[in-house]
Amino acid sequence: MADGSRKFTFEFDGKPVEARDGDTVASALYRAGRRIFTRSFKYHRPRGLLCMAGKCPNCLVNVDGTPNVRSCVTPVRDGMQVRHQNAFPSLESDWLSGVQRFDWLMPVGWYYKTMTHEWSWHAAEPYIRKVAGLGVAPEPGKGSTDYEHEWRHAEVAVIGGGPAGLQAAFELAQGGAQVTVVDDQIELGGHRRYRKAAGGIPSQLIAELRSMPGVEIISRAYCFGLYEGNLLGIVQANPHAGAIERLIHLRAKRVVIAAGAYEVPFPFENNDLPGIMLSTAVQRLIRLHQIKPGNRAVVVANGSQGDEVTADLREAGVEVAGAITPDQVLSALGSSHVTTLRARHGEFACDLVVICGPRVPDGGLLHQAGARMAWNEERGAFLSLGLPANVSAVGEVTGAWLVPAIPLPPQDLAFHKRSFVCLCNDVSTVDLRDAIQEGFDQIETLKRYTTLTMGPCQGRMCQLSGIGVCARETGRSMGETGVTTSRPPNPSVSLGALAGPRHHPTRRTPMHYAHEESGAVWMDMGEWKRPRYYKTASSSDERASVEEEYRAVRERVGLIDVSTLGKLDVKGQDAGKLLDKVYTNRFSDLKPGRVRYSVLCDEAGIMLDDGTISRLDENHYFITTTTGNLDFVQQWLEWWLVGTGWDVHITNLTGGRAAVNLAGPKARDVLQALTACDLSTKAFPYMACREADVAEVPALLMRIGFVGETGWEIHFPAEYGEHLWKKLLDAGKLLNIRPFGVEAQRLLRLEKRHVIVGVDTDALSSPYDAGMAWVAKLDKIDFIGRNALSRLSGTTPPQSLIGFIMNEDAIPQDGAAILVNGTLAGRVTSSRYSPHQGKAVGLAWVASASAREGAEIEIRVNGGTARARIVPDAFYDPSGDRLRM
Amino acid sequence: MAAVRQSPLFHTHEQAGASFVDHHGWRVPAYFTFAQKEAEQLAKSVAVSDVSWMVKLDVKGQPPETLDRAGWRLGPQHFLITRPPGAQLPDFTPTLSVTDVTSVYAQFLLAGPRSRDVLRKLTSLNVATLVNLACGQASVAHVPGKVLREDIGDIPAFHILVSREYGESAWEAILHAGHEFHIAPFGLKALEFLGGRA
Repeated sequence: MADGSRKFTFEFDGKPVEARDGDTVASALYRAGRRIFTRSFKYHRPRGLLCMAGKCPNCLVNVDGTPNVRSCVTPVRDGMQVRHQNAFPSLESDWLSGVQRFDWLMPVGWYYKTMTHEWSWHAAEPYIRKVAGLGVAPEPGKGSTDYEHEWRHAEVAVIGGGPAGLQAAFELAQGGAQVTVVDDQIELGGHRRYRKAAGGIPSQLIAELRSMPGVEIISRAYCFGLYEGNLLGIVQANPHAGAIERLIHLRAKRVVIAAGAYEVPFPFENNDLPGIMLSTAVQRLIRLHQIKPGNRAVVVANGSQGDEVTADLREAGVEVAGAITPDQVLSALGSSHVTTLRARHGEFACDLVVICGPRVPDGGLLHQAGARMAWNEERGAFLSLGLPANVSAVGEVTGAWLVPAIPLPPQDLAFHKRSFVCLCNDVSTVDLRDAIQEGFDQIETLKRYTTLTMGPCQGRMCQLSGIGVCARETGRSMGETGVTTSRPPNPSVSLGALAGPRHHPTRRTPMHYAHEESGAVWMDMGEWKRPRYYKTASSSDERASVEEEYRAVRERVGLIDVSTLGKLDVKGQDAGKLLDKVYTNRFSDLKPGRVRYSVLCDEAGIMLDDGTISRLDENHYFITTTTGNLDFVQQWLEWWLVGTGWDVHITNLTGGRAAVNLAGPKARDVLQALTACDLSTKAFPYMACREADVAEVPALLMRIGFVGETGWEIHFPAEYGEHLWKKLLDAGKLLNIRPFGVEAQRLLRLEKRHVIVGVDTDALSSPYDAGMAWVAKLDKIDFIGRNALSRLSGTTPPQSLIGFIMNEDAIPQDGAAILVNGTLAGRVTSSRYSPHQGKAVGLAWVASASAREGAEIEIRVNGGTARARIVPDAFYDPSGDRLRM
Repeated sequence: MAAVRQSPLFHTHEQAGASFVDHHGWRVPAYFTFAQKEAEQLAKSVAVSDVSWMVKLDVKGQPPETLDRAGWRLGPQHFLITRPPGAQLPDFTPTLSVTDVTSVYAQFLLAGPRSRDVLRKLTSLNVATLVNLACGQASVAHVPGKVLREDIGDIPAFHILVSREYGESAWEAILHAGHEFHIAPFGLKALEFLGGRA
């Protein structure tokens, strides 16, 4: 037992409260005299400690900003700030408790009965939302601290560190198994910690277990779910000072459930008053926290079931005013705390009512493992039958030794609107009876109509009584009525624990810091960070910056980081064969030192990706793909390689190569200063590639022209990223070189009418639709998509990708709708203001019937429409002379 | 002036106050605080070093038996060779396809008695069964990674490889996971105190 000698302080609603080592928030508050811990969901009735085991909704508080914390299982820490929930202005005086007077307006299912018109729900919803709920979510960024994830593996996982679990772990470990024990309390021992009569904590067994190699013990950790493949979800509280919770994924070959059984209440009038507690709760207060639970108690128990707690009470100095059986109970009296218990044969003045309630095996995990729940009359409980081979159960969770506390179905049930079955949602026996009379007489529909079992306690406290009432009112047995399905997570898990550490993988290019220094304004492209544009002293906003970058490329020279491109190294004698098979263009006849552009199509002729393929050598190719599409392309190539027996080896070089595009009429001047490679058009024509050193860095130079100017795409080992980037900018300084970002690049390529697969095309686009018939070489030996493309060739697709120039001064947005003769005829894919044309230009999908050269279309812009005309050619340098300078 | 080679963590190390030296053309941290202190932290608990400068070769094809001892077997016909720069490389038969992937991966050496506890927070690989000289491929810090175990004497140590562009992201996640054990970065010099290779 924790040494209760060290004292410290925490806060409750701003006032200091004393606590001791080993205290939970609830025990410290109870010792300090608090009896009302929260207010109930619907009627705002005062609620006090009931279970002291984390099984009921009565002790939920806000701890350090986190709402709905079960204070009875939360160890208190020095300096903790605890606040009450769901009561205004205070727990002692809650204005909303007045709503009880209007309970006649809110019978079971009252939403469905009153708000029969949609407008009435929409009118009522904002108000209901304000008053409903229990805790308040913390503001973003507040009230949350670090969460961790961890992955563990075990040969055997034992869930539950009570006597049965400990014994099972010991025997398994002795037999040589590697065992992981998971227990949710601050110390091992289970119910032996608070039940003196059971013999006390098995200290020696625990010490032996701890000393055995191959035994791992995870304490203060609860198991919330058993998933496929024996994956256990576990949450450990405060694993270390820097973390509030740790989510453990525990994969076990075998699972032993030793979760025990827990006590539940039964319904009678005013059974929810503070001061009415379960016997095991009283035992915990006395044994674990050395707290005298009250002054004068009444014990409600069947037969001798109350003897143990009666002895505990007397030992704690509590006067036991009476002992009665459950069928004798009529009602409890009191307003904010119990003052009297009315029984058939008399009244008892008291401040504590001790309920020896039914015991429920904590078999949620067994249910999740696939067990059937079957009613056992002898035990008075639903037991789990039919476990899979690698899941077993030991101890009280099997139902062994259980003795019924009350008859089920209940025989003598006095229906009363304050006799609560579901404490979470204030569902009374009257509510259940009414719902059954209305026709919701199956346990699953009864649950959904009344919200029984649907609150924070997830049915732990109320399912048994609820089934009892249902069975009684329908004349069925408990077994025939059955249980509702137990689903994980049970108990609940915070979203923070599920999310884990605040860590979002980010992909950065090797030149990231250089861009930062140059004033990059960042954008996200999937996980990649890319400069959208660069802020400079001379440009006032994005539009100005982009135009400056654009002009630099068109008139002088610009430099863009394209390291995000996917890159594949393809080697082997049959490499050319594979590329011929998956690309629509030919590659086996590509000469070393040449680059070719192509697209990948699927079997239906739909374009999946595009890219460049450079032939470096007889059996060596270098492929680039669209940013973000590398994984798909590599899988696609590997897929089509399977079973061929071809000698082809593919390696992903994406992260290993930095890549830049140096473009503009002055690009050659800049690059020539850094390399001995002859860059003249004669020696290095358009669509050629060369391997050469640039500024002492081994590089692959590809003369291609995405942005429409003379330029080179340079690929080189990523560790030289900053070095070469700076060298290029230095070499171009006198020419006033500008780094340019994604926005400028988009504009430059759009003026050249270059299609971006995935932006200007979608999952229905074939090369023919997109006006790229030239890329599909149908005379080639078979390639993926050839059959479909052959059939499509020469036919008119329903929609065509066209280029347009605005006839008015308006700039449509990407995605804007297109109208022809007033009817919807298509949409814009890319649109930008073109400095070269002096008007906005773009690409769009238009119904083929309207897609004639020169045809006029209308585009939705700024709430109205603007006119544009269709043009077949690029908007800038259609002949491509600028590329070949 | 020869071109300087930088790991993706270069600026992070700068900001952490590292003292740099040249290491086979790479600019790498020699130490962050004191080499001996870094070595002690490693031996006592856990520490991590950026060893992205390690030479890495991707080898595919029908392997001779000798390759099993010289490299990490990722698949039936797929090996990864890791070597310090300047070290001798194995002879490769013509049936093998070899690609230099030194630049492709950011590589971190996570070492110390608590290194397994840190690794368990980063990956679902069964760390307990990852014995010395075993390797595995799995998600590490939410990105595809490779884990190669190569102990330093009797101190457990793991090489973690992720695609280079995830370098900073993975490093951050490792430091965060190791926070519980006071993880600290260590440089080249610290390994000398432990008799490790550099």
